[in-house]
Amino acid sequence: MTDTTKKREQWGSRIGLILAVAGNAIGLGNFLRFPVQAAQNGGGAFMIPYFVAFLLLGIPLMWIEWGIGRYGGKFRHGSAPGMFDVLWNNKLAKYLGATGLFISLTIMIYYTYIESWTLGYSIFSILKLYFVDNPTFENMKGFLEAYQGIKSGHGFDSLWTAYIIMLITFSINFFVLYKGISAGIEKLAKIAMPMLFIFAVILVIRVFTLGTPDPTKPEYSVWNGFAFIWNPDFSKLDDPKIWLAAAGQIFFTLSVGMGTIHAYASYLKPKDDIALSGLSTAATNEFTEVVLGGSIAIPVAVAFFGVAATQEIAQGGAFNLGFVSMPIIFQKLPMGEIFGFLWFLLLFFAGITSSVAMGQPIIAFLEDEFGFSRKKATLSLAAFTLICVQFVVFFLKYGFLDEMDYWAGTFGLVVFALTETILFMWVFGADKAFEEINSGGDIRIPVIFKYIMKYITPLILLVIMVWWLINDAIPILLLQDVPEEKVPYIWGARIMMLIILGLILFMIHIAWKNKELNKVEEVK
Amino acid sequence: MNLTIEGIIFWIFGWSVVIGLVAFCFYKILTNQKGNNLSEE
Repeated sequence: MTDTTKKREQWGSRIGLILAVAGNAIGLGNFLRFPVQAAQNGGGAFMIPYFVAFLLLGIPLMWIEWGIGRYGGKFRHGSAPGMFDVLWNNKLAKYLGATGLFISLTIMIYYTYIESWTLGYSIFSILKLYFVDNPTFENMKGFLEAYQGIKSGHGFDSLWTAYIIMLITFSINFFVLYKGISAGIEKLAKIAMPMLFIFAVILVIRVFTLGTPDPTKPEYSVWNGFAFIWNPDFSKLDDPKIWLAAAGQIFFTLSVGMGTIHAYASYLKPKDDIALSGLSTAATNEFTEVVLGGSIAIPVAVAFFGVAATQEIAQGGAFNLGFVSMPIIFQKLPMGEIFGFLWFLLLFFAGITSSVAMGQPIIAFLEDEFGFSRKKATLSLAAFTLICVQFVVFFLKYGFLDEMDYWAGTFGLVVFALTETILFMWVFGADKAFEEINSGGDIRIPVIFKYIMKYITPLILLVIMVWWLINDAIPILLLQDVPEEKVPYIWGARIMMLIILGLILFMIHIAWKNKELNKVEEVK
Repeated sequence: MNLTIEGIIFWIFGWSVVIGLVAFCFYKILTNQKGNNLSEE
C-alpha cells in the first residue's frame, strides 16, 4: 500500500513556506471579523486581552502545531491520524486524529462556496452590476440574497450564476492542490499574498485620505471610525466575556485547531527551523489583521453611515459588513468599482490561500496512508467535496452552512486544539515536545513557554470549550429558536457531518489494518 | 465620538506591537546564515 521509497514533496523556500502558512491563517476574518470584534468589545482596551491571548494561546498553539507537523513528517505522516499515532503509542490515538481531517474537510466544503462569493462580487464590482442610483441596505441585501438564490430579482432568476462561479473557484482550488506543495500551494502563496498586501495597502491609503465624505455631516468621518475601533473602554475589561471574545478571535485568526498547519509543517525536513518560522507566520497574520484589517471596513463604514449605524452593522455580523455595507460605500466613492474590485479580490486571495490549506490534510492522508498519487488523491477529494457542496449551495437559506460552520468551524476547532495540546505536551511529554520545537531553531524559545504550553494554553482552551458548550453548543444542539421549516435541513447537515466523520474513521481503520498486513507479509 | 488621547495611545500600541514583531521576525530570517533557504537533507 504505502510506498515508503517514494520521496515526499518539500517546500522550495522559507519565505514561500511562511507565506503559505500565513496565507492559511489570513482569511476573511482578518478583514471582517477582527474590526467588528474590536469595536464591540471595548475598542482599544480590547487589545489588552487580545495580545494576552496571542501570547498565551496563539503563539504556543502555533509552535505546538508546527512541532507536531514536522515530527509527524519524519514518519511520513502528513495528517493528524498518523501524527497522533506516533505521538501516543495507543490504538486510540489515530482515531483521535480523525477530528483533524473532519474539521479541515468540512470547513473546506462550505468555505470554498463563501470564497466564490468574493470572486463573484469582484466581477460584479468592476462591471458595476450591483450599482444603483440610490443604494440602500435593503437593496444590497436583496442583491446578495438574489445571488445566493434565496430570493429572485436583481437580474438573478436562479442561483446558476453563483453555481458557475462556485465551480470556477473549486477548479482553481483543486488545480493548485493537484500541482502539489512547491509548484502549487507555495507558488499560489507567492503570488496571492503580495497581491493581497498591495491591494490592502491601496485600500488603507484610500481610507486614510477619505476624511469626511459628506461635509454636512462632520461627525461622519474616518477619524471617528478609528475612534470607534481604538478609543478604549476600560470598564469592559472586568467582563470575562471580553477576554473570551479576544481568545476566540486569536484562535480563529491564526487558523489553529484545523489540522492544516500540521500538514504544511510535515513537508519540512527534520532540521528545518520551526521556532522562528512559526512566530513569523503568526506575526504576519497579526500585522494583516491589526494594521490592515482594522483600517478598512469599520473606519470607512463610520465615515459613510456614522457610529450608530455602524454599531448596528457590526451587530449584523461580518457578512453584512463585507457584502452589504461595503458595496453601498463603493457606489458612493469615485472610482468605487475599482476599489470594490480590489476589496473583493483581496478577500478572494485571503480565502483561496486558506481553502487550499484545508484540502491538504486529506490529500496528505490519501497519499501517505493509502499510497495514492497526488492526482488520484486530488480527484478523489474534488469529487467528494463537489457532492457535499451541493447541499450547502441549495439549502443555504435553511441554515445548512451555519450548522456545519458551528460544529466543524467553531466548536470542533477548540476540541481538536485541546486534544493535540494534551497529546503533545502531556502524553508525548513537555520536555520532549519543547526540545522538538526548538530543534533546528533559528531562535531559542524562552523556557517559560514550555510551562505556558503545558499548563496555561490547555487551561484557556478548556475554559473556552466549556463556555461555548454551555452558551452555544447545547442550545444549538437542542435546536432552540430554530424555525420549524429549517429543522429537517439542520438534521440533514448533522447527518452529512456524521457520515463524513464515520467515513474518515473507517478509512483510518482500513489504512492501519493494511499496514499491519503489510508488516506480516514483510516478516514472512 | 472623537479620537481621544487614550485612543491614539492604544492605536500606536497595537500597531507598534505587530509591526515590531514582524520586523523582528523578518530581520532574524534575513540576517540568518540560512536566509531564505531551508536546511539541507
